[in-house]
Amino acid sequence: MGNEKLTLGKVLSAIGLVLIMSWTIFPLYWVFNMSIQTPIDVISYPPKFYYDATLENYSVVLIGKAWLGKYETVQTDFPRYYLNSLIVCSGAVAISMLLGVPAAYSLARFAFKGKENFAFTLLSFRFAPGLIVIIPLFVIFRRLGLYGTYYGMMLAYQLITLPFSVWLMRGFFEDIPIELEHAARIDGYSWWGVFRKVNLPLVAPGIAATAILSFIFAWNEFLFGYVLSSDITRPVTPSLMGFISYEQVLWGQMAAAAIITLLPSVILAIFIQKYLVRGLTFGAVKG
Amino acid sequence: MINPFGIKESFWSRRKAFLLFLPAFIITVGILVPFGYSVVMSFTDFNLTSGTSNFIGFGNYLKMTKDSEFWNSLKVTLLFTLGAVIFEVGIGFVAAYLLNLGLLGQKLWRTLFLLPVMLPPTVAAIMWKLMMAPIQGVFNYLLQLVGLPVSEWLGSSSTALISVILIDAYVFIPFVGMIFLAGIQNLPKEPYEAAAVDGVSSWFTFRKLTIPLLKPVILIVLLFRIMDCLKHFDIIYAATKGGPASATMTLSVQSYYQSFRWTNMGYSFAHLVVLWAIVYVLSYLLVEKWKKAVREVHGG
Repeated sequence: MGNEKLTLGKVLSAIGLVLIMSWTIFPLYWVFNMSIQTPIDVISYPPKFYYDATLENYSVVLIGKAWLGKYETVQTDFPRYYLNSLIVCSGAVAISMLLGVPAAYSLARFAFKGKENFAFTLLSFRFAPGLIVIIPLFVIFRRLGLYGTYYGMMLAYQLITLPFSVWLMRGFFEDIPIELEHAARIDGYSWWGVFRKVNLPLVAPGIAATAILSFIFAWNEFLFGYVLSSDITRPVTPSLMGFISYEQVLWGQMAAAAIITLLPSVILAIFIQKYLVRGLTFGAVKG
Repeated sequence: MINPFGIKESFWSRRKAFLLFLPAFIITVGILVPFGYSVVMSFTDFNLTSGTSNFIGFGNYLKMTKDSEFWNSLKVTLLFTLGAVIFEVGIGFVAAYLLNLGLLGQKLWRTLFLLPVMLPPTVAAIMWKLMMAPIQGVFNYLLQLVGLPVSEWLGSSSTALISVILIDAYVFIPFVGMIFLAGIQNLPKEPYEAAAVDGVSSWFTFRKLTIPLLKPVILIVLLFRIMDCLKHFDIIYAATKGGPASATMTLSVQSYYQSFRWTNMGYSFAHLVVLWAIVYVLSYLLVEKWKKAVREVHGG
């Protein structure tokens, strides 16, 4: 590359790239920046780029007012919300993988009546406005005593993760050449044997990617958690709304809470980068 | 269609197919129940506070045609969708083009570029809300620094909609860019080599070759972005709660308020049914177009 001529087009492209990258990176940098400033520094004007970093905001958010009490803070129970998210999202992912993987295999390999209709119905859930399902669930859950329970929320969250898992896993199963299954059958493997010895090892990366993406979607979900949880079972994403009304004073803590909340999603996304395009388009674009 | 196990086992495989598929099917029906509940209740005056629930036919829908707030939220929804989709598709395409050039540090750029796509939308909204604060926010500071006029951002009804579009674009430009990038990299090489031999201009190649070949990918991007924008809730609610003065009150946010602030569940469901109908028809049309485009490009 070094001996190629430096053309105007290249310079413009490089500038364009820098602009787009700063648009992406600057907000993340800036919020992290705010999260390690003291309450005085964070509201100073002009904004400070150099300051004495502190982890105070993180400890206040993670431990809460009752323990520290040095600066004003919101009465939140952040570790609990974090744990709630972990419980609800893992539960939803477990349910949707247990039900979704067999269903996806069945859709990929067998012909039966109404198959494509079923698949399209699943896809259409992806585009339906969430509230059209959430508000009735709110009414129904209150009647059934599921409102504000972990079980109720896992059931609600897997409404997002199950259709996704089925669509994505179907594509992963279809990628396996059918001839491999035939060959294994001829070698005398039972149907279950073929599934276990041939299919599962081959789709294992796909299963892992699907589970991780489902987990991220569930973690990022706002409305289901906001409407269907009680104070005790509130997941972390909706709990952030509690900070917003205090924005005038608590910028540093809001920033810290935002950083803590986005960490799992962003870190997991880096691991499954390869499958991200495929996952985000429900398998329509194979990245 | 495909029967891997031969004729002898066709009965068993059909039964297996059914057994494997059943649990997911039950859950799917389980989703249709609350959905059906919404549709049915949209024909009633169901109110959570008073507990009434009488059948009123198309009463809610007729009321909506005379409700200026409904028309406002429909307008806001469409404006938001139009603005966000044009902005995101435009910049996303440029980003994909730039990331495909093979400039120095390519791999790192790509990883960094995709980070916002996985942010919880509410977190993105909070991040930008902090930066868009009118007095101490860093955006106004930077604007002043280069001598541009400052903005009220989310605080004024004239700039709030553009501000939430910017936040949405922050999260979804990487989404659009990544999909376009995958599409560009999957383009076949031969037609381009032929075009180079024939010595056609790069603009002609782009218009007559790249755009038609990318059509399926463009349609997928439009499908996902248009549908997500129409039903949008998270970012707008976390950033402005629909305000100021209903400037960002989309249909989803409006129906949320009808349900949980005014407890007019029936009326809220009518809003959602209208929104759902728009989304369903559009997504059906786009999916059909996409299938057609895939057939055209890949043959068969």
